[in-house]
Amino acid sequence: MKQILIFGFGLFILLMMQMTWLPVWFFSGAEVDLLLVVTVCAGLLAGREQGVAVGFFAGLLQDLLSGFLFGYHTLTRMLCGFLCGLMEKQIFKENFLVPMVAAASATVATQIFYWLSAYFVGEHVVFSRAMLFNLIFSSVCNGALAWPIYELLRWLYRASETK
Amino acid sequence: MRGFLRRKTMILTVAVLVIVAISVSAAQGKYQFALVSRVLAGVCAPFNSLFMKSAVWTKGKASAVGDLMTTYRDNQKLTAEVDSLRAANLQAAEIWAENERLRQLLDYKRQQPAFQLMTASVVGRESGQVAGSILIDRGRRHGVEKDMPVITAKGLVGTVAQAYDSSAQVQLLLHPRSAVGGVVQRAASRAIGVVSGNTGDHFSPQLQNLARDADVVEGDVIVTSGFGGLYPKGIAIGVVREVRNAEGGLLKYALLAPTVDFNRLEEVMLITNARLLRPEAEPGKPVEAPAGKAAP
Repeated sequence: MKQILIFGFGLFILLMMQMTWLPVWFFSGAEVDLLLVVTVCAGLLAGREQGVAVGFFAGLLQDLLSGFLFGYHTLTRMLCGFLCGLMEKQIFKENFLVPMVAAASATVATQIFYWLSAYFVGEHVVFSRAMLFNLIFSSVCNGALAWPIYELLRWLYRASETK
Repeated sequence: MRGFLRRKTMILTVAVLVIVAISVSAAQGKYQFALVSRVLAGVCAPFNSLFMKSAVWTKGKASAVGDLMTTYRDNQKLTAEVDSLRAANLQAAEIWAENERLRQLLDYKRQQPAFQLMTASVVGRESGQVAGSILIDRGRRHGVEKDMPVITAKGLVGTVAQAYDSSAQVQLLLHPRSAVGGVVQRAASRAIGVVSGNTGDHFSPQLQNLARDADVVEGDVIVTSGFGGLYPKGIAIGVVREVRNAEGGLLKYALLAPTVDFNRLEEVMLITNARLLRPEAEPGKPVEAPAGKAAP
């Protein structure tokens, strides 16, 4: 229970940082999604169950605070955690490119899923070149952030397994 | 943590289904999370505010440090720019002043159709003797000859004392050895004398050889008389500042304030030819007389 609380608090802090620090400091214009990156990294390091679990809590938190269609974040994050978790056994975990590519791909996938969801909900989506550039920039930023977060989580998992 | 979460696989699967059901319900507008969202937003608001303030504060501090690091470079750049602009401003002012002077010379040239004029720049001044002579940038090559009168738009400057190949030395009116025939311009007077330099006060030449009863008063304008043939008639020399009796009691003299500012001579004109327009002569057919030999 204590671990869940610590984990939840960690996600909350990440969400706060995502909403305040990142737009002010680094990525004005890009949609940096730390929780998505954490979900991807958790799936790659600990497998599909943990990826789904992290995605569930992270997505639920975002859903409750975002105001968009409830369930969108929860489902997409869970899906990302699950898919990344499927690759856990097949990847070389020391390769720093793996989390970067996975996070960038997840960003593109969730964004496409967002457009589809918006379309099905009935919102009028107008595609433009700026949207494409923004998507590329966001995926690059998330990919770049994935490496330090991946290394941090790897260190935390090792520490918890040692205990 | 991994073990704990593995046990919850089934629960999560159920949760997915519940979420899908809720999503569909929410999409159809049947289910709202206003209360939960409001509570969560209320809980998050102080944290949000705290994080945002800290982000803005640190960003501000970092920007200040960054600005400080570029201040020296900016200062150097701006100082160079200020120097450059000052130089440009000075140059512009100089050009403006030169333009003004040349405009005055041009106006004078238009007003004096009887004179054939050549413009020259003052390029030197006899050191130590302000009232002595000046050097101009026109010489024999340009047609300058000895004894040519030198004037400005304001009046007489002097005569060419020596003409070199590409420059000439001009003896100023203020020189003690200069002697110019002068006449009071006032019609009621027309008193005649000789203007020469004043060894006592360089900037105050004197009109000498005036008869004791000559009608000369303070404020009279003195112009060249044309006598002697060196200077054309009617060029302004100065204004009477003071009239004094000469020693001996037979003559008197007048101290003049020159119309030309000899301290600010930069451009002058040489009279290369003076044409005397006779009143009876037809316009356009002037009687020419070479400079230095102008008819009285």
